[in-house]
Amino acid sequence: MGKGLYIHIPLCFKKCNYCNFVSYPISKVKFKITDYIKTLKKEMKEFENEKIDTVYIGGGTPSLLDPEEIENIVSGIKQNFKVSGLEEFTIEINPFDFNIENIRKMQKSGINRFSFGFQSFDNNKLEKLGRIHRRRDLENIKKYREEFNNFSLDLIFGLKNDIKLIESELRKLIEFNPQHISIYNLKVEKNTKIFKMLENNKIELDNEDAQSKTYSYINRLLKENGYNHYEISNYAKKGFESKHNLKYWRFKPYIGLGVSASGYYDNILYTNYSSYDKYKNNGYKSIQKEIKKVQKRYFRIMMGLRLKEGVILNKEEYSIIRKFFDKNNLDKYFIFRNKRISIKEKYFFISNSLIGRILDELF
Amino acid sequence: MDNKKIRNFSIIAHIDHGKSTLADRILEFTNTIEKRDMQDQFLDTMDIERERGITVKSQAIRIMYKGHKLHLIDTPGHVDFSYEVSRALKACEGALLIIDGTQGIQAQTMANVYLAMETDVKIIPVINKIDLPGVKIEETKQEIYEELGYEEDEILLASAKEGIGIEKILDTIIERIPAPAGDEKKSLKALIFDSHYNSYQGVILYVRIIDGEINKEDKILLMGSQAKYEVHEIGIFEPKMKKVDKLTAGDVGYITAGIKDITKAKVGDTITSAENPVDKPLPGYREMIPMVYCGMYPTDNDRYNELRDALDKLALNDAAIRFEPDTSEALGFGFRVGFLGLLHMEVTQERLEREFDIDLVITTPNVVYKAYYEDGEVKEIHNPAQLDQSRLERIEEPYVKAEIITPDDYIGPIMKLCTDKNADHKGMEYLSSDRVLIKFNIPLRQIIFNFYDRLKSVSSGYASLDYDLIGYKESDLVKLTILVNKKPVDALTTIVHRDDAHYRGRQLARKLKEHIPRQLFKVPIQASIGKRVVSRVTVKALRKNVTSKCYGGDVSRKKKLLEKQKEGKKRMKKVGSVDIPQEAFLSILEVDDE
Repeated sequence: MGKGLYIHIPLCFKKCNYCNFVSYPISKVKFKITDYIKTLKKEMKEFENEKIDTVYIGGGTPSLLDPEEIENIVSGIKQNFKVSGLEEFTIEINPFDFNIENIRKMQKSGINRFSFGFQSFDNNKLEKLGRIHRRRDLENIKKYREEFNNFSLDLIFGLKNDIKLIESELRKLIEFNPQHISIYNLKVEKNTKIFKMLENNKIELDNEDAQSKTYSYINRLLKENGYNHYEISNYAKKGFESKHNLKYWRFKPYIGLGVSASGYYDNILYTNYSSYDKYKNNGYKSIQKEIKKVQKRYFRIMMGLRLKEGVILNKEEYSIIRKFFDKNNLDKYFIFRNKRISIKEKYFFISNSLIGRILDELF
Repeated sequence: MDNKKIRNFSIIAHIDHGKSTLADRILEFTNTIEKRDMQDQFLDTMDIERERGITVKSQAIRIMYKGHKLHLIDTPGHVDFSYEVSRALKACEGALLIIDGTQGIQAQTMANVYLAMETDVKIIPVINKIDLPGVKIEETKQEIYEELGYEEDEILLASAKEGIGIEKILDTIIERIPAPAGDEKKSLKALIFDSHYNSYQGVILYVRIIDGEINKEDKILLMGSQAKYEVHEIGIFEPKMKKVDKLTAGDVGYITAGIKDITKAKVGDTITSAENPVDKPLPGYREMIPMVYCGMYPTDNDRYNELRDALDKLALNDAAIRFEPDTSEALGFGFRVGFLGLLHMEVTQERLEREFDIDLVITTPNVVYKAYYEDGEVKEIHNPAQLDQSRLERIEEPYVKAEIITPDDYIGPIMKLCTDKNADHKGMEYLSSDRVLIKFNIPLRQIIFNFYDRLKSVSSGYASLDYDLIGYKESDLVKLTILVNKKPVDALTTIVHRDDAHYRGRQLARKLKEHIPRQLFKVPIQASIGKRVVSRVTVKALRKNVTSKCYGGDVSRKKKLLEKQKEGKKRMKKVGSVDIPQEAFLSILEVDDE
């Protein structure tokens, strides 16, 4: 099986209020995009001839790039990796940048999956989130719905009254009939604008109980509409689960390229520098950690329990967990099938506690 | 130098009246400390003393002034530490009594003066803070005359902050305080008035030589413990420890004698010559009785032995601390520790955490009750969980005689506070035209919960408090048990008045609810008297703890988050299957009794 390839484009028009990813507003950025792409292609040489079967270009906002620039990246990929078995090639699109001509060019270069950061249909909410697109941008995309045979839409919930808003948001989303949906619970990270807004009472969040209800509602409605809730925040029509992202959750090797990107390659978990200068001049990687056998099991279980399919325990792990569950009455939260363990969908929203219990017991 | 040229004195004052600042100025003025080495509150060597602006421990220092050796022994001002004051006074012939001229005589001033009178030391009253705009010099003089009996011409004026009046104070010390009366020809007799432990030298004894002299390699006998040692080192505080050849009658200094067993060298004991001992020891100190107990448990249960060693060492120079081993189902192995008051408890906790680096879980403090059981057994209850309500005939609690001094504007709210706290009013007298002394008896239990803070708040900080144990009285008290997820939590058990039980139970359950994080399942919290549940609240089940977005770049971050979660859980204590954070064990202190 081939590896996954992630390429990070650390540019955006303006940082969203909730974003704590490494991304630089285009007006402030010091380097040229062509230079960045040149470095990316150089970095590819580090992994030359590796077999790749999924690619994901994310950001930031990769749709800020011209189709020619994207084509340039794609040709770099084709030159440096074995891509004969390439199955899934995704790019993230900000609805604000949507341009059907560009999309068609990207499709010609080989990109076959598009992920749109809708986040909301409510202009007021989009404003609070610091998104630059508005509802009309989404309506515009709908016109071209038939030109996509694999696309994903994102939503965010967690702001005050989202519990009331969610039904209409979901109905509108379903009208697009996307093959894939990601719905994220808003996480307020320190050092983000939204953190300050919350601190200064500029925004409010729904409380824990309301958010949990909202989540249950989402799960129910999407199931009714034929979506498989295959990961905590991801839903897909059968066969359209993200192949690339599944590599993360199954803790399979992936290569990350670009500023601040992470990869898991050759038993090394690494993260690149987040400053472009250091990334370019100091050999790309800032952190590299060898992952030993035990840690690999840790990560595989940690990530695998995010999935509906769960994770297969080895014999020893199984017997420890079986005893632990019996002693602490934990069976109600999990599904055991042979040696495969998974968290019940009903308890996905407290998965950190449950995953923590398992890992604390095993490691 | 003969002992006619020695003066031993203390500075005593109500808290915040400027005692440590005055000591600083004296050290500066006499060049005992170079200005560049000076830091505020020089004698307060513990971090905690500087941070809180209080003095906890006595200090002794030698000052050379106009051909005289002046030994200054610094003392604390808070009511909890009055025993330290009395210890220091026993080593002195005189004391500066500092009174803040903007506030006048306070409860603690009077208490200290009484202590000083008992020990027969010469008092020099000093009105401090005369540079401040609100100072009332004439009124304060009048108060000092009426309450303490000092004539106007005996009273000195100073501003420690501005360095005014320092020379006059020093001259007056030489003039009025008598030289020590001891005889250096007689056999050695010295008082241990303080001590501390040093891992190289063992116990360092702070001594006042009454008669005779002490030299290196002398064989000494500690009369209380009957232990014999050979003197290793003799020195004085200047203010750093400085070796000298000998100390003679009237001197204040330190000695070391390789004393490793700290129980052998009790503060208050008398040192004499092993070869030529005196017949009778010095009177020593009044045994201090702890009035407040709490449980102290190491956060990390493996550090029980370290905690025991640390308590041993603290008890060495803090004769008021008592401790006995204790176990709690929730908190594991620890100690029941007795203190003189809440500040004493807080200070000890902080010292354990800072000086010995031991993290502690502290349980709600309580007073010592006397339980009379039906079978005739009488038991002192140091830990409420030990009270067996089922066979109880009656229970007694300690009462104190308390005195509050306040400007008369605040009589109303203070009387209300006293009534709220079930105080028994015993009278009131005017000290001056607008300041009164209020006397009352009150259960000590009432004083240890929020009394001092509330007194300060209802009187805008002007009222002061002093109290003294008067004895035990029967009370209608009940044991209030807290159950978390149906399991009684021994460390949260309290003893309360029957009339307050419902209210307290409800408040405590509510406070706990704020402290206990949501768990996987819902957790009922109940307060009960015997089998009867008087209050119940529920901590709802956890509904959200999720990392919504988790992709390739989030793997390490997610691991860190889970590790942090694990650490957080480790810091909590497990009762049954419920994780309880350590702060929860002190929640009752936050319960307001409005």
